[in-house]
Amino acid sequence: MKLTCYPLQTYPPEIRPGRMEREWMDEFTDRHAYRCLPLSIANCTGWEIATPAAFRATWNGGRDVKDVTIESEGDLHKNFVMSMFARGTLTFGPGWLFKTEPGWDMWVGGAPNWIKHGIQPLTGIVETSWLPQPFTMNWRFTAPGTIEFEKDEPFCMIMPVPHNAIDACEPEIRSLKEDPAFEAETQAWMKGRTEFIARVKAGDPEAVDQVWQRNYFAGKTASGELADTDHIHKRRLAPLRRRQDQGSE
Amino acid sequence: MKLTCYQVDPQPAEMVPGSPDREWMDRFSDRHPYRCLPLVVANTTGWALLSPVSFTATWNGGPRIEDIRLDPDADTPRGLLDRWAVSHFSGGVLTFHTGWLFKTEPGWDLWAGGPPNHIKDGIQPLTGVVETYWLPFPFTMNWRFTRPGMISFKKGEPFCFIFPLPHEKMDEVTPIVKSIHDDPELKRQYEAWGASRSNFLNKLGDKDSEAVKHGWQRDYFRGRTPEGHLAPDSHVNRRRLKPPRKAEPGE
Repeated sequence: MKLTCYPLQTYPPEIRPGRMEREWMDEFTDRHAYRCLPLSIANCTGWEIATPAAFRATWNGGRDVKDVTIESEGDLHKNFVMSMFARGTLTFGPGWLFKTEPGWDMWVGGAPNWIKHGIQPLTGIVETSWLPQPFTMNWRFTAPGTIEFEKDEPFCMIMPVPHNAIDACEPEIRSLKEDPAFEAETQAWMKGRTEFIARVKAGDPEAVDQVWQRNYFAGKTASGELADTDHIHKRRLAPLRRRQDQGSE
Repeated sequence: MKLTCYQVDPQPAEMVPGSPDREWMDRFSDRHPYRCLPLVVANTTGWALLSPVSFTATWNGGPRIEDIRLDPDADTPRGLLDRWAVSHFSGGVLTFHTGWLFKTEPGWDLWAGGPPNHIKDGIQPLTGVVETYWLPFPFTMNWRFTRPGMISFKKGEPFCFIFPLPHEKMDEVTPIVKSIHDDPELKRQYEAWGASRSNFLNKLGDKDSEAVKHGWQRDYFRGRTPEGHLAPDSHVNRRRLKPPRKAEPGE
């Protein structure tokens, strides 16, 4: 699948594959938050767009466009961030126009698991397969106050999503008892977990040493079998490349 | 595509198609954020799980499990709260159980995070991408405090949002940087849009009746470019997903 990125400025903000690292995840002993594979994968599932300069924004709680003020050294923020929609909304211009292949929309939101107090990213799904206009990325203050963005901080994450596969999705409620084989796997998994936690609590050196169960990380079922050959425990998406590198496209 | 929802609790959290409505979006005059179609589509692209309990959670800023305290509201028995919301992972992380074990079809993961555009001060949802097509174990939904302090959840408030996501498609994506000058047709459409927007904004300033009456440009909502080119037939301006239903016998 191809994602075409048209720069709308001479020096648009940097786009890069989503990075796994998060400051608050680093702070855990042994960085153990990274063992929660779903978080690490989410962090890397998409491309992030980073601020070209640091700035600070203040919302006084008012409803007008002018009630959000932005300041930065040398007014560098004016190239990419503004107050435009009122009521505590902060608007970024990504500086790019994106085009996806037919059948693909773009999920646009904040970088997953990026903790920020006082403001939160809004999420949109855009039909980038045909839209000849750029979208803006918006954040909303969660309370009146001042927030800051550093230079090179991700202000947007983009991720292509299927346009209408979800409309055909039928959620079906079942009891585990109706699927005995799957139920057996589930019970084995739960039993393994309970036993492991008990061993850690009892101070079993092997379990304590192991600290955590690696089954999901390694893509294994409770019985130790490999669950699936296409299990992903590390995601490295492709970085952007210039069209010239590849001849005509 | 099927999403199988196995109950692992006798009464799992209520699961509903994502609702378009958000309180802060209602408060604008004319509810005009609803005209921002990408927000509304995002709000409805997935299923929300609703909290069965009301409570406040307080984090003192410390790294330990005990540093978060949970207190039920009057309408929530202590025992019920303990079943749904706990301090488990430490580091200011609040954990919800869902009561469900989700199974997707091969080739599909599940994106699990917060309800899009649901504004909450002091705590934020974590996001995970889970290989639910094989995992025989339920995941938990986690939130992290953005600062020491107190937050609350109310019964019926969405605390988790899920949608199926292709497992490996992303790994095949090659982003290519291209100049818009190399695609003359797109460049023409892009410029027509820019001109139409400036024209519209100018007319708004002039109190030109037509523009003021329209109030906003409906092109994207209708799936049109300014020149009237239509989007593909599959343009979505209203999404209502199917609610979960009980499996028929033998299904």
